Amino acid sequence: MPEIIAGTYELLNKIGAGGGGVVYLANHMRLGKKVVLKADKRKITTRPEILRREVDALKDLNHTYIPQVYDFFIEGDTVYTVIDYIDGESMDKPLKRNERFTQPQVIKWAIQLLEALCYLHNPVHGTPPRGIVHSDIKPANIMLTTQNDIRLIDFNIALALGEENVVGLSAGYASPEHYGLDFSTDTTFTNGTNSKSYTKKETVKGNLKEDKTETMADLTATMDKEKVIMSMKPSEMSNSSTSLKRIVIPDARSDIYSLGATLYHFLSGKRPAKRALDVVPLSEKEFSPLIVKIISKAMNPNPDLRYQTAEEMLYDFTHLRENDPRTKKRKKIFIGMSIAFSVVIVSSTFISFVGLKRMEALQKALTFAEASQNALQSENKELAVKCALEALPEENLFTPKYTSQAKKALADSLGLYDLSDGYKISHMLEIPSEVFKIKLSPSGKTGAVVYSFSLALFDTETGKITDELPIVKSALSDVKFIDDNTIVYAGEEGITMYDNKEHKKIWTGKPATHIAVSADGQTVAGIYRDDDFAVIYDCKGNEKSIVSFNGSKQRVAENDTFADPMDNIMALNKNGQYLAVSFENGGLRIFDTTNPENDIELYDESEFNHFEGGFNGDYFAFSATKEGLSAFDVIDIAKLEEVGGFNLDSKIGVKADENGIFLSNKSTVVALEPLSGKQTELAYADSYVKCFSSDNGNTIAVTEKNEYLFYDSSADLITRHNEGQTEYSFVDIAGDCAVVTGRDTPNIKILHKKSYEDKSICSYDKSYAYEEARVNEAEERLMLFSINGFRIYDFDNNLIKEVSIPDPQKIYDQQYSKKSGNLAVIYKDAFRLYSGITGECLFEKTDLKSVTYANYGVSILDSENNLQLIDLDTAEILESGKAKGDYALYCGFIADKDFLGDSQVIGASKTSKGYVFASVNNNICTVYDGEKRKKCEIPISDKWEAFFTDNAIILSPLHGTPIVYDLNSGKKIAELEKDAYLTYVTQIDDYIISQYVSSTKDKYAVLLSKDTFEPLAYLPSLTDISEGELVFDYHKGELRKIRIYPINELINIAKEGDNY
Amino acid sequence: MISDEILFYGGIAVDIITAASAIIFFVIFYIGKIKLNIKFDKEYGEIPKIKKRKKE
Repeated sequence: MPEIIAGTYELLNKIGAGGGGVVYLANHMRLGKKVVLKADKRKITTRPEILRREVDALKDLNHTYIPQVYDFFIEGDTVYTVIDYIDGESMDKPLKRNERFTQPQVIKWAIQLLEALCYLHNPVHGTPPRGIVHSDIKPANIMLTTQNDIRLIDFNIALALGEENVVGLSAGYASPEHYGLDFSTDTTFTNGTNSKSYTKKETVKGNLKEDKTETMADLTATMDKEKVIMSMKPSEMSNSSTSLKRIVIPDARSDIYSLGATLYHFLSGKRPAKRALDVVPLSEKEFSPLIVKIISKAMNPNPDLRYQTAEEMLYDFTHLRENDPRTKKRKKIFIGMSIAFSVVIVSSTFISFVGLKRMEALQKALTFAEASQNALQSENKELAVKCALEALPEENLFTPKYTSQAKKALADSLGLYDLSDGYKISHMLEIPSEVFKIKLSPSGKTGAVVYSFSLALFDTETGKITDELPIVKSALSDVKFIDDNTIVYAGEEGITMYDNKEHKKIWTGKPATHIAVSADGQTVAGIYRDDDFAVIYDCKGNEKSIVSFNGSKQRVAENDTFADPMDNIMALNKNGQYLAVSFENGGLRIFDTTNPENDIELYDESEFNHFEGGFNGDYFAFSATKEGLSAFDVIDIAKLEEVGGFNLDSKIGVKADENGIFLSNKSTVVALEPLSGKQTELAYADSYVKCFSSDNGNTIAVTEKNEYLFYDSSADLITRHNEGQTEYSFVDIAGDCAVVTGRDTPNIKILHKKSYEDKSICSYDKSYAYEEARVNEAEERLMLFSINGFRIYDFDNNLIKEVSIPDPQKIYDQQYSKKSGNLAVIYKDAFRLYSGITGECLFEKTDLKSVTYANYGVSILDSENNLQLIDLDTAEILESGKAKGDYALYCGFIADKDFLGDSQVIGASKTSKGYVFASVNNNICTVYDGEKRKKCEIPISDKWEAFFTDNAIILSPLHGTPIVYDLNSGKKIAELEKDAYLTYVTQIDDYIISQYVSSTKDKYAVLLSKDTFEPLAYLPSLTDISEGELVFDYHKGELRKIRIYPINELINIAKEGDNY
Repeated sequence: MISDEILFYGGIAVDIITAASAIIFFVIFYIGKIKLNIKFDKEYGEIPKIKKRKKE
């Protein structure tokens, strides 16, 4: 019959017994639940707080790994405590059976125990809230459940944190503090172990008692000097024999030590040494270093160097993977590699981005450079400069160096290297629609352009529109300048006089399209479209009279938007008395505005359908044109007689005003003296003249080729513009300004006459026929030469000497020596050297076997095979010697048949690096230096001429493109001008100047970059280079000189805008 | 003098090579990580995540 305790607990069996009492497995009869019934062996006379210790400790606890207490009662003389039944066994049992636990198992239990400790130590239990120290953690007090989890049991000697009371001492598990030892001032335990005591490696064996808790009461009698009764008073402590002995209150760190010792036992299977100082650390070979480290730290004799809280230790257990050195090492590698990859990718992406941006910038620069060249071809200089500037952005990381194309575009668009006199485009004015008519003021400072349907006045200096005025909606709308500041135009409200200086209307009359103004500016006449009358005004806008045409009308198209205002004559004579008007029926009449009875009828009716002309003094000059016939007549109004005239089968253009009578026919423009009939040529073009204008000796003529040509008072062509696309219909010239435009374009070109006389360095007689003009280095003499002879001028423009050269047809080459000004005339079998100062012949030799020019002298080989090198400047013999064969030259040594064999020398030079020459044999050009060393070989396939710079050889074929090769490697560097013959190559500082003769015999040069041979500027009419400056010859009787502008200076000039 | 084309295409080439290297590295790295985790599982076992208890 089972024993029943307190009428509730049915004792099932005894599951343990010890010094503290007996433990039973019981059945809670009412709950039907198995519980543990602990019967305390102590007498009930023991202090109740000691008897209730476990209950008091457990009653407020609720944790997975801590058993729950259910009841506490006294029956008979025995105190019973009822707690959770844990199905399993205490951990000391498997240890006693020498069972070993795996590391993962121990880690799992450690975490569970630490969770329990964290809970216990947390100061939240009971009233007032407090933390609890277990004080007796050891394998025997840890239950292993059948689920392989643990439970922390036996809270008999548990203390509230800070409580000074009975302490359990389990040898090997109890912390030094339990023994009253205080190592907290000893800092030698930094690594969690005691190095001092490992000499005495003592493991706990038989000297330790069984895993039995001894209370202070039990120990009082047996305690040695290392043991301190926790209840000792401080006064008693001072008498202790060792300084380590202190009154020490166990705290959470003591539990941590015990837990460390317990885990130590679990892992090693050995109970830790009783003395903390004697504990042998776990082997890092046997266990993970991190585990060894944690346990060593937990068991540090110095509590200050242990984990201070269970949380810290729990953290280390739960972060084993993260804190493992292998993880850390991998993490370092990962971070390092990630940073390295990121840095490389970011860097290379940035470099790639920079490359892309630079390529884009380069492409943009090339596009703008091309646009600039196109704009220049279209004669839109402003746009060309603007585009060139865009092609030259400031250099930075994302922008490459200035391209040669851009540099050339800017140099060409600025036109600084064009020193020829003539009309140069200064502005391109764009208006909203195509042009109907354009006029310049008498001085050329103001222009007026009629378009649909406004009149724009513009300043020719700035190229800006100053006024825009509405006009009659007709292409016939007219505008006339009275003076620079006053115009009369076909205003929307009627014929209007306008002050363009004050920007206000002066007067407005009746509607008019055709307008005539007398030369004295006092009379104005207006006709509206095809009205049969004209209204005559005085200069103040008063109507003076109305001239009736008796029903006749001017030629006006039905849709006068497309009418040609140039088909009709409407002109007033100088004082405004006579008004000449042509009619659609071919009639032409001169009306006397003061007396209709004096009207003059030139044609009552005719088949002529186009009239041109006007008044010049007393003369009225006109042409009447019909298909296949153009009649020109000059009428003396005063004498009422015809003073001259003629008929031609092609159109005669006539402009007559107080400046003169000007005629054009076919390709000629002339000025006519009416009385004598004398014609003075103004322009002679190479194709038919479509329209022209002449003022003060300057003439502009537009030809059928769409060229517009400027001629000076001598009828010399001074400027030729050939844009080629626009069909020009309207031109006007006044003062130094000219305007050109067409019916089909909204663009107006404004040109100004420019003169560069200030750049002149010397003059000559332009009638002398010559091929080349050169000046010597000292700038004392100018030489004009051709194969026929030469002239020498000094710089005071005096002719010093004119010399004819003998046997001109046999001349093979002519070379000018810059230094002395001497002229070398080279024949196949003779050589003559003429002085550039006096013109005398300094050296002459004939019957030669060979003559070879080089910049350091001329090598001549006579019939006796004597080779001489003649100095071009002094005519002295620099070198001489015997040579073999029929050809030889001196080039640092005598290169004769022995050296050359069948090779042919195509060029020799002395550069800053010494002699160099090129010879050709079997289509291979071989370059040698003056030491007979071969520098490079270049395959060629034509007859070539060689030019040299310090670092390059330029091979120029007779027909084809000159090619530049590296002098040392023979590698191709660049190609030069196509379709032109290279005549000279000169090196100046950082530039190379290549001079050419084009297929049209024009001479020009190209400024090249010294290193890349890329073109930097086009240099038309360059004839020489003097003192590092460019000398131009336009065959106008003087040479002009200008320096080479560095690119930054060109940019500044372009940005300043108005200075070019 | 390095041309802009070399900068651009060279940069792209380095990018591609680096990206490929990075991919290979990370693949190898993660394989290593998996291997290490297996090793850790043997050495440390499965470490439970600790939930913070609410204050009582």
